[in-house]
Amino acid sequence: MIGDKRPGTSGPGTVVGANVKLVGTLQDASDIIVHGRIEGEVISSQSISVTETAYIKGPISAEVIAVAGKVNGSITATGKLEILPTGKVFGSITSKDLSIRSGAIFVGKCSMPEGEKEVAAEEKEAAPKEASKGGADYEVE
Amino acid sequence: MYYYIMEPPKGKIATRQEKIKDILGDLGIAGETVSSSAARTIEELTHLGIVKGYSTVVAVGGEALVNKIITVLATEKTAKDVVLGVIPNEFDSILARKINIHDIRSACSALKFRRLESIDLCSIEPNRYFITEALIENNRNYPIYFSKDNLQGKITADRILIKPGLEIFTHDRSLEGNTPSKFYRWLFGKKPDDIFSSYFTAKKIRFEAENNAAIPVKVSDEVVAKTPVTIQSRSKVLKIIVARDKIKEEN
Repeated sequence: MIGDKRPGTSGPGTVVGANVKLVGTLQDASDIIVHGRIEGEVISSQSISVTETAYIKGPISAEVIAVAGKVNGSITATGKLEILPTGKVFGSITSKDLSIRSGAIFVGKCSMPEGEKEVAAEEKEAAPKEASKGGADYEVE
Repeated sequence: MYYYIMEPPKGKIATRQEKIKDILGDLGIAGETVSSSAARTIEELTHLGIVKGYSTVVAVGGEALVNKIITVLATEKTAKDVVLGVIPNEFDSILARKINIHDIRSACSALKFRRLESIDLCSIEPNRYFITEALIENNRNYPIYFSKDNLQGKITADRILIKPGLEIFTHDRSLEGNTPSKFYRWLFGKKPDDIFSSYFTAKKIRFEAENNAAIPVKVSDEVVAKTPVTIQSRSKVLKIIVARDKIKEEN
């Protein structure tokens, strides 16, 4: 794929200019900066920056993602996801660390796997207490 | 053992070549020296060197000469074990930096001490190789389509630069703004937001201009192909002599 890098190498990554339209899968082991238009998947092992002039129609996944342009598709950030004031996201997002700045538009479902695990653990912790509480009530009755 | 291919000796070049020959003689690595002419092209001379059984072909001259020799060495099956040495005209070039030489003497010394390194080349189909840079350039911005595996793209650019390792830089000068805006930026020391340049890498890429326009592809200021064109990265296809200093640098 375009932007392919040998594992472990670090370079400037891929830069998609504002005068570029791409269709297909864009994948890079390094950073990706998008100023232009992409219809398809965008994958990076490091970061993806969707600037103000950019439009992406398709899923995005990277460790760190910053959106200042428009994204029509799901976003998965294993690290941080930031939707900047000019950012528009239409699609589901999954992130460990989320920041949506004032002025940003986000229409979709949000899930935070770490948070969900925490909630599940809390519920699990609370369940025996509830059960023991219920047991006492039963005894009284 | 050494086969030196030089540019036609004219003016300053002749003086320079004499100096090189003297240094090579002093180092004890003087060999057969040939110069290209109307009767014998660089490609023919390179082929001749291979046929004669030389194991080291040395390009003494500019990037155009080096790229022509490389094309023969990379395409001829019998040249598989032939090693390339370079004494370039300019020492601030990418090629000189690649082989870590700084002047004529260091270039000649590198040949004597022979540290070999396998290098990547780019090929322009069907059979043109280059080690320096290729340029797809038009006098005005033009829509160009490119494709690679499962990615297709359209770019409006007047300049596409292709570097070894198939690193691709595209730029559209017309989108930099008009003269007043450039002057304004210069006056207030503002750096323009460069959002119209692109950079990416590939292993194989095809460029095709809109309406099948034939935009020239230049290597060392020489037109070697026209769009549509396919350019490919070939890894470790040629052994080149680099300076021993490079070992220290790498360590």
